Amino acid sequence: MNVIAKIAFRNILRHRAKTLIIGFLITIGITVLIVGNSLMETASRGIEKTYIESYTGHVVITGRHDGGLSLMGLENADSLDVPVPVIPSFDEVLEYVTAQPFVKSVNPQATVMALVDYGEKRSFTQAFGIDPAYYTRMFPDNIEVLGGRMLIPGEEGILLSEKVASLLQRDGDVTVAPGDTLLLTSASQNAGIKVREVPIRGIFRFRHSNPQLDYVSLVDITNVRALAGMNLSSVTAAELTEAESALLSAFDEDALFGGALDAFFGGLVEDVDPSAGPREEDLFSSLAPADDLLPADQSNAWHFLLVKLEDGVNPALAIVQFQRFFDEQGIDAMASNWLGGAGSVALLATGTKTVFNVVVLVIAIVAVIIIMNTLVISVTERTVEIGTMRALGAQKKFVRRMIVWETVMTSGIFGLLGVVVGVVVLWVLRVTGIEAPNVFFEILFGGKVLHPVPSLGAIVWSLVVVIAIGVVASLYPVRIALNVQPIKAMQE
Amino acid sequence: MGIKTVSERQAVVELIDVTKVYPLGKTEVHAVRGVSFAIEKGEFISLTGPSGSGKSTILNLIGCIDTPTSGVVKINGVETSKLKDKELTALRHKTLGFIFQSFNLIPVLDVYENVEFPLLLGKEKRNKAETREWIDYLIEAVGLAQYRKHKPSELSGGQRQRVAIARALVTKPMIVLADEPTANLDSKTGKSIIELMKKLNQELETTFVFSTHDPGIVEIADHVIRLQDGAVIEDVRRDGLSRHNAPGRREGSSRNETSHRNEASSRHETSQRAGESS
Repeated sequence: MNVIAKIAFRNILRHRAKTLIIGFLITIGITVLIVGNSLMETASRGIEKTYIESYTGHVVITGRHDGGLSLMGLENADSLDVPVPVIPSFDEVLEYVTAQPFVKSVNPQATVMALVDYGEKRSFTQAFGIDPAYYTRMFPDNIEVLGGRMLIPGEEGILLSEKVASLLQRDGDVTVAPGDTLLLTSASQNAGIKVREVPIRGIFRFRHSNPQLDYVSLVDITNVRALAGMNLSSVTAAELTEAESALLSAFDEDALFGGALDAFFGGLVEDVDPSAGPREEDLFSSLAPADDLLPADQSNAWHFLLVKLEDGVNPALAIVQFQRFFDEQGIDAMASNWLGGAGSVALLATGTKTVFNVVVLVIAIVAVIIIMNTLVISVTERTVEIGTMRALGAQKKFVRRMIVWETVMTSGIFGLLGVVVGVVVLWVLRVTGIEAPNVFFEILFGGKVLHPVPSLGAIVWSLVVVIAIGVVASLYPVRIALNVQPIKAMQE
Repeated sequence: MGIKTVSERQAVVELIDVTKVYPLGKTEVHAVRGVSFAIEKGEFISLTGPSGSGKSTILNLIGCIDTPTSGVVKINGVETSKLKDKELTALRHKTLGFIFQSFNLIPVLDVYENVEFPLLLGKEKRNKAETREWIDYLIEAVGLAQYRKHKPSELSGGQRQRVAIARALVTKPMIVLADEPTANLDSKTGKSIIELMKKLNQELETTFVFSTHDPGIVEIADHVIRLQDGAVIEDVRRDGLSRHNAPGRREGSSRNETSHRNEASSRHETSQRAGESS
């Protein structure tokens, strides 16, 4: 055994009390780190898997935006002022993406939040505008139809969320059933208020849901486009027969309403001098977009193109390839990973992990200070010993290595103990399962019960952290040790 | 056998007009005042004098663990003040061995490991069997063969100092420095330690320099340097060889012990008078 390691190891044994204090701290710290990180990883892996398989796919393509966009729409302060961007040149994008051999399936989607009125009852829903053919191909097993049926391609209708249906029925005086119709109302600064009457085709729930997804209903894309304020001129322009045209042209609107209106309002409204006050055009011009500002026909527009990749394909590489294509073609679209489509609820898991890591950092700093303090005392007590070594011919690097070895060895031994304790705790938790005590944890766990799995990444990360703590904590004591002069050997 | 002069014998240590001043608050303590002497290879030298006479400071200066305020310290011809920390450490490792008043054994190592320790600090490749044989020889030579696996805490003071002596010799140094090696031992043990050192000095031809204020131990030395108030008051050699003439001092021919003592006393008195008048 190397003499430095031998001295370090025996010094650890010799100063048992100090070693145990440091060791206890390290063991607890590593246990917390491993259990915490494994919990977080299990939860976030679960959420990621669920979202990729059931909601977002691996890659989410959207129109260009400044952030805050998810399948739930814009989740920032601009959501009422700024419309959800559509994907420009959608057909071109779709053709390119589907042509890639690593793409397994795609699903175009749009989104809008709408009030749901059923008779006197009111609730709200997040309407996912879908093409049922694409949707069922990409997510064949993510929903459970509780009544009625799935939407059929080309038909109008809503597959109503079980949660929304239950809210509409909460007083027990109505029953929402397939075949009924309800009113969907959306409001936004740019599109004003839109109301659509939509037949209920079925009631469903997602197999893996969370409190945010509970409010999602699947709606035919045409109604969602209308509710989202898209320009659907080609859809709404009805084709009239010659007879219908002739009939309509026979009517003169002024003749129909002019006289009657004049008679009705004539006494109330005096002739107004147009120059005397604000003109009608001035008052309403801001609400009515000028023709040249109207978006082009959006009857084929989508907010999202969700892409599922073949097994083993790295989403990051696919994203880079898609983005390069968009940039080369001048298409103002963005490709991102599943998180780009997941709503704030899914991001909560990631955010919580960040918070956890901050807590770990604080714990690490405290551990470093305590370990450092203990080591400083230890070095100060051994100045004669260190001075003797220096007098006998030990170079400074020998002293440095000795102190670092002591710290790293202590950290390593107790770190490994922490790993063992952490794995045992996780094993127990895996067997018993952790029940989510509230909705917050339900979201975090990605379900009602979490069965954590020890994560190799968490173990490696924890060991890296503990060694880093050891090295950092030894820096100052090493400095003190290096300042010990050989003459200290002469002092009793 | 004729009398050898300094040019014929090798000076392994030379101190030339060395002073050491320690700051003490706003005042200064003159621990060593213009000391010059030389130590020749194979000598068994005692630095003696009362407490505060500068014995330990001079040993520290020879041991390269302290630096002089002025003057020159040469170890085996190398001027120590010109060396960097790394070079000084290497010089200590290769040329010097240390025996400390409080033994200073490494508490977590056993007897064998403590003796072996200095060998592990160097980069030299050693034959393992030869090294083991050499360490065993030293342990046996200091009479601790049956204590090889004992930790320092399991040994008596005298035994610990024997381990320290073996450790000091393990690198086969040119000079072994011992700072009051018997101070923490009873007189009988102390004397046996000095006799052991003397025996090894003769067997291995290693130069031993030790400080002591025990007159009984001083008698064993063949070269005695008496100090008082940081200055040499007597520099005598009992082997009939000529006294080494430190540079800066008058060259002298062969002298007897008394004449050395008289000259040193006279110089000390002169310097004391000079100090009083200033």
